Formats: sequence, C-alpha cells, structure tokens
Amino acid sequence: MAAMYLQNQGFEEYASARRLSEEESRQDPETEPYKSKYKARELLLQLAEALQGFQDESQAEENIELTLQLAELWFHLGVNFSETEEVPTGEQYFSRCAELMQGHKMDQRCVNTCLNCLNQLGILWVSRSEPEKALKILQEAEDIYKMYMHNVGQPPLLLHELLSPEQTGSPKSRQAEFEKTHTLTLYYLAQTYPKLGDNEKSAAYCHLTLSRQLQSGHFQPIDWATNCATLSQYYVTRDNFTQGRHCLASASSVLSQVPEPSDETEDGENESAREKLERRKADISRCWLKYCLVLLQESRQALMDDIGELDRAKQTDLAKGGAVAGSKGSHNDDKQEKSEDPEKAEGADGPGCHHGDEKSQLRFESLELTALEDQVTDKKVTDFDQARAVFLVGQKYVNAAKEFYVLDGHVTDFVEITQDWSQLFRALSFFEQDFERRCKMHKRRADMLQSLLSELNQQHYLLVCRQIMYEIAEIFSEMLDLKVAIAEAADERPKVHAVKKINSLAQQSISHYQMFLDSLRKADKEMPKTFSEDTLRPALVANFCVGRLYSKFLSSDPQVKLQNMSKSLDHYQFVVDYCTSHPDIAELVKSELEICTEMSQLLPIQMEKIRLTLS
Amino acid sequence: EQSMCLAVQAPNVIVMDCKPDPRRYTFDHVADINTTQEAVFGAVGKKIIESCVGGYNGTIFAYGQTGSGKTFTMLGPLDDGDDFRHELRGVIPRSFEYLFNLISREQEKRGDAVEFVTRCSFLEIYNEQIFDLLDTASTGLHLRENIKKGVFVDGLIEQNVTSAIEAHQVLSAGWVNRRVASTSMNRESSRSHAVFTLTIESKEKKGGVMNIRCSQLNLVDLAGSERQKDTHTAGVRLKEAGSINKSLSALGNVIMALVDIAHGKTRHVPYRDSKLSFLLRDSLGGNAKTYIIANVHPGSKCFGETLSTLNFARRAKMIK
Repeated sequence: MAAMYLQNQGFEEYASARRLSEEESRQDPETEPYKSKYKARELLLQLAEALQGFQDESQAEENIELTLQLAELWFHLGVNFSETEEVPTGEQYFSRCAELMQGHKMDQRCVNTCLNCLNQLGILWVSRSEPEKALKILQEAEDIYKMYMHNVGQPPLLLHELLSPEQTGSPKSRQAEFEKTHTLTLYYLAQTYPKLGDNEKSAAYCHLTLSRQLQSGHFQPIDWATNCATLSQYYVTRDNFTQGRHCLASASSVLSQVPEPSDETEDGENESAREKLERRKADISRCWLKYCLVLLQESRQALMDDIGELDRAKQTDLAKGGAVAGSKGSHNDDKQEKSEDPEKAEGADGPGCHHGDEKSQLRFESLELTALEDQVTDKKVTDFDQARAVFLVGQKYVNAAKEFYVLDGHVTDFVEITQDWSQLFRALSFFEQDFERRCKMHKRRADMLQSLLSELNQQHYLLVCRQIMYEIAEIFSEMLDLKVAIAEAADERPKVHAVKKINSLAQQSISHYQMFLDSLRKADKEMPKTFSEDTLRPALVANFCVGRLYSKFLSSDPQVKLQNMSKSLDHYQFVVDYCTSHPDIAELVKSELEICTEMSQLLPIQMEKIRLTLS
Repeated sequence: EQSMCLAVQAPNVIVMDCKPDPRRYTFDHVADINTTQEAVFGAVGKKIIESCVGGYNGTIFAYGQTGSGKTFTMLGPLDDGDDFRHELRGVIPRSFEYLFNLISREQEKRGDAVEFVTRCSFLEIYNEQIFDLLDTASTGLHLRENIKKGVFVDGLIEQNVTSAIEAHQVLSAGWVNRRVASTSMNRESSRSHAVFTLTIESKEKKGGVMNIRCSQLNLVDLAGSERQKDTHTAGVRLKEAGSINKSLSALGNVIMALVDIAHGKTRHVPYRDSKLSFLLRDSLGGNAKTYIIANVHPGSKCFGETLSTLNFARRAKMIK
C-alpha cells in the first residue's frame, strides 16, 4: 500500500520538496527568505503523515523500509527547521530520526542518513556549549562508520535515494558520499576536542581529515599544503619533531606537484596565482625554518638540563636518539619513553585503534617523502656536527624564504626571517666548543642585524627596531664575555690588541643598549617618568646591563677607571631610583635590583679609594 | 515599546539580563542612553588627540551590530545635510575641533620654532579590497609595505587641511561617496570598514637641528559585527565560542586555532593578516593608544548580538 502511494504521489511530493528547499529557496526575496523552505516543510510533513498512516497496516519487511523512509524524512525535517532558525524543533526531528534508526544502523539503506543525522546533532550540542554530549554523539558516528565498513562494506544509499522512484547512485558515487560524510564526522570531532581541552586529539583528527582529503582527491593543493604546514607548527611547539617533520615534508611534497600557473590576472588579494604559489612556498620554508630552530633550541635546553643534573645515563640515552613522544609532559618525561612508539602516547581510543598498524594512522601514506624527510633529523642533537647539519638545513630555508620575502615590500616578514636566522646561529653556537669560532658566529649575527637596522625607518618600525637594538647589544655583550674568557684561559695578562677588542665590544654593546633606551624617550627627549608595561623590564634591565658593561672596560688609567665607574653608578642608580618611586614593580626586576642596590653602595666607596690614591 | 535587556551601573559597569544569572561587564567607561555626545568625546577622544599632538599614534574603533549607533557615535546624525556643526555631532567632528585647537595653542606657544602640517585621507575596505573615498572613480588600491613609508595604501589621496571646517569638508565628501558606492556599486556600508586618517606632522627647529615628528590618528567605523559570519568581512577576528564550522573550507582556521593557543614565536602561521589589521599595524602597538567604542542596542530583540559585542569588547580589553 505504502509503495503504491509513494509511486503515485509520495516520490513526487518529495522531489518537489527537495526542489523547493534547494533551488527555489535561492530566489526567495530578502523579506521572505524562508518562503520556499516553509513550503517544502509542508510537503515533507504531509508525506510523513501519510507514511505513518501506512505503518500499522504493512508487513514486517515492508515495515522496515517504511521505517527507514520515515527516519530519513525526520532527518530532512530536522535540516529544514534548523535552516529556518527553529533549532529546538530541528533537534527534535533529528532525535526522532536517530531513535527510529535504532536497530537498523548497519542497514545499507540508512547508514549514510544515520551518520548525517549524528553529525547534525553533534554540531547542535557544541553550539549549545555542551561539547561532552557532542563528543559522545560524534564518536558514535565514527564507530558506526568503522563497524559498517568492517562488517558490511556495501556502499550505502545516497541521501534522497530511499525517497526517490529510481536508484540514482552507483557504487562509486555512493561510496564517495559515505566517505565524505565520515570525513565531516572527523572534522567535527577535530573541532569538538579543543572545547574539552584536548588539543592533541584535535590535532590528530585534523591530521586524519587532511589524510582523507588526500585520499579522496577532493582538495585544493595549495590550501592543503598550507594547512598541513600549519599543523606541523602545532607539533613543533609540542616538541613532536617526528610528526612535525612529516607534516612539513608532506606539505612540501604536495606543493611541489602544483604546476606553474600561467594566468597573470590578480585575485581579490591583488595577487596573481603565480605570486600566491611563490608566497605559499616561502611560508612553508619559514615553517621548516622554525622546525630547525626549535629542534636546536630544544636540544640545547635538554643538554643544559643534563649538565645541571650531571646524569651520564641520560646523556647516553639522548645520544642514542630517544624518540620524542608528543605527550603533554615536559621533555624530561619524554626521555623515559625512548623506546615506545610515539603514536601510542596518543591514547588507546584515539584514531589509532582503527587499523592494526598504528603508525600508519598519522602518516600520509600516499606521499613519497623519503628525500624530504631525510634531509633533517627528527631527534634532538647532542654534538656540534649534528647541530651543524640541522643548522645548514635551516639556513637553506632562510634563503628560500627570502627569495619571495624581500626586504623592500615585505619588511615585517623579512625582519622576522632575519631574527630567526640570528637565533639559528645563536642555538648553533651553544654546541661550538671553541670560543673563537663561537665568537665568529655571534659576529655574523651582529652583522646581519646591524645591516638590517640601518635600513629600517624607526618611525614606522619602532617596535622591531627596539627588538633588534636590544638583541645586538646582547650579542656584543656575549662576544665580550667570550673574549674575556679566551684571555683568561691564556693565563697571562691580555695583550694590547685583545684589550682593544674587549673595550671595543663593551662600547658597542653599551651604545646599542643606549640606542634602545633613547628610543623610549618622549617627544621632548626626556625619559618617561613611568615606563609602559611592555617596555618596563627591558628598560630597567638595559640600564643594569650598561652599568655592568662599564665595569668591564680594561684600563690602567685611574681617571678613565673613575669615569667608567661613575657612568656605571649612574645606571645602577637609575634602576634603584625607579624602583623606589615605583615600588609595585620591583618584583619584575628582583635579582637585578639586588645587584644594583649593592653596587650603588659599593661603587662610591671604591671610587673614593681611587680618588685618594690620585690626590 | 520594546523590552530592554541591559542596565547601566555608572560609571563603568553594564549588566546584561542573561539566564540564569545576569552578567556584569566592566569597562573603562560605559555610556547609557542619556550620555551626551560631548561626554562620549570627553571619555574617549580627548586623551588620544592630546597624545597624537604629542607625537604618538592613536586609533579609535567603533564596533557593534548594524543599527547599534556606531555611525551616530562616530559622526553624528546624518540627516541635516551633513552639517557637522550641531549639538549631536559625533566623535570625529569633535576630534577635528579639539585637534586644531591644540595645534593652534602649540603654535602660539612656540611661534616660528614649530610648524604643523595636517593631512587627511578617507578609505573604505570592502571584501578585502581598498577603495579611496576621496576619489569617486576609485577601483581597488594596493596595500604595500616598504622601508621608507612603512605600511601604506598606494595611490591614496591625502588632502591638506588647515582647520576643523576643512577637515569636515573632506569627511563629508568622502561620506557622500560611501553612500553612493553603497547603492550604485553594491558596496554595502554595513559590510565595509571605513577608515579616516589624520596625519599630523610637526617640524621643529631646536638648536640648529630640524626635528620632524609624524603621528597618525585613525578613526575607524567597523563593519556591522553581525556580518562577521560573512566570509567576506575580515578585519576583527571574532571567534565564536560555541560554534562549529560546517564546511571543510575552514579546516585552516581550525588548525590555526590549535597553533594560536601554543605560545610565542616558536612557530610560523602562514596566514595573511586582514587588510585592516595590516593597515593599522603601526597604530596598534608600541607607543600607540587604542580605544574601542562598543555600541550596543539595549532592546531585547538584539540580545544575541549585544551579548556577542560585549564579549568581544571584554576580550579586546585583555589583548595587549
């Protein structure tokens, strides 16, 4: 009976409803935006009522088909009410749909509808700030997909097929749509996890989503590569270098397959397709650069912690290259997990319980990545040669990025790249045992930053100029300390040219701190009475450093010594006075203040002693 | 007669009638329906103008849904043939007056030793494209960055002005163009940002040295906040706390959100700043002063948007 009704009337009503909802609604006037959708709703409700009428009269087998058709109708009504801003009613229909499908979830006729319905409910609960509920629902959807694929496998019907006179889908199209629905489930899970505080799971699901996009072929390569490279940065900040490198290599690989665009027309961003591709390549280079930089920095940190602990055992472990798991613990914890599979740390019920081989879950299997991944290690480095290898890769990417991000035209980006390059040298220098060579590395840093500084207009790039001045001052200070250490190691009084060098470095460091301090002056050239929050600590520390530097000058002339001590005192006194007049900020510069206070008392005494010898 | 969902507790608290408990928001200043335009200017404009004359950059933003009064706050009522001299004139006209007042006082104090030059420009950002509102034939302008000029709009007209009245005229002309573009070119003003910029240059001779100082005052009428959901309106990144993005095209945003949460400079996020953020970059950090005026409609019908605006404003307060 029901079948006849559908053949004669029902299917057509459904087709009309669909047409109204999907096509005609686009022409609805601004004043009546839901006109067509309301009409569609009427038709759907009518149809549902009719089918419900038939339900009691029908045979068992026909009953199931009817049930599933009703369920799908409830789904479409749910969508209809949601789209017309009647979400609570929409929710009721989605719930009815889900309920009706209990016991039929593995049915080829409705499993796709079931997943779609659960997806909608998931979204709904997140929008009501109940992510826990949403998570359960979406996980159910994920499980149903897995179970269906494992136990049944037959491509399920497309949406609308149950309510259409002919089966319009092919196995291929049906499978494709089913996969799309599942990908959306994963994508929604990726968005739900952060609301529960689980970024790690979110990242894994983003990875999975990217993986499925790759498999399906439905993706825009430039966007895909950009997203993958961005994901790599998440892993880099979590010290998961293996995963980070994999994402970077994948991004590079996909991007390298994009053909050279020929069209020169500019898009809405005033950029041609060629420029856009070049820019994206440069961005990915910068992501690689960050990878190398963080790897070196984390390696340095690990060794410094070890030096502090003098733990031989841990050092050997590191040398063997313990894998770094992407867990939430500090890197100290990671060292213990050296032999465990990194992905296992993700948790038993993560995406890794799907296939037998867990590692494959977080890799993009279809990509050929050996060359790209092999160019740099994913393990923390422990000696200079290893560090240098990473450094060279980082430097390669600096140059690659600068091909697009030239100074004039991309000032901000060029500056950031240069700052990263400087930090790359700095990280490398830690592994260089020879002080002279170390000093040379710092000199490279000073040179590149000074040349950059000379190009920048302080008026427009004030913030960045300050950062650079400060960094240069620190570099010269560092070089000074190295030269002094070299002289001391020589175990004799420093030679004339070494003295000159040391004094010159002290002077250069001082002048750059001074440049920085001068940049804080107000329009009338006076120092502000009160520093703003972001410049406060640097300003005080700069004064402290200058005070310290004046005491590093080597001179046999007591007059010169007195002058330097006097200047030293001025700067220490500045810090003391500022903290006195602003007692609430003293905490920020606690250790420096202690020394400044001490020196401001000691120096006058020392100076007096020298004056006495002169008189 | 509409029911209200807001209550103001002077001078700086506003309470929203939420269920189950009302929510309190504290700001530097809260103005209710009785607050005069003059008072608003006093709270927001004066300090910024003073610091601009003192050489610092400054920006005043007006944020809120369409119809919440952004334009009224920034410009005033527009029906009086664009006459910006009456009682209800807004922040921008008052800023002109105060600014030129201060300048002439400085000029009097210092005489020939200092010279002030003031220029202004007026642009609109629609669909991430920049249009010059002082050029009726304007087709998208390029946002560039170079060493000499910093970030600038290539080809933007800058009009010299020597008095508040002249500045008004520039503003009027530009505003008319905006309305024209809105109807004839479909550049709906509720979906675009308008940026009026005053550049103040002072040349001072001190001890044989010529000191040139330059500062900018940006007055921004932001696109209707309800339009943030439109993919075309970028500029103020408002992250809806509760929503899931249905389309895979937003996967990039989801991933970016993960990286944003992570700290500092140990990562590179390959996305492009909106044109607005990039344009105002110099004016939003370091020595610059920024004020956001959040406009809300007290009617209960606007509850959702009002809540959204207040939450945004509260978050904005916490951003450095």
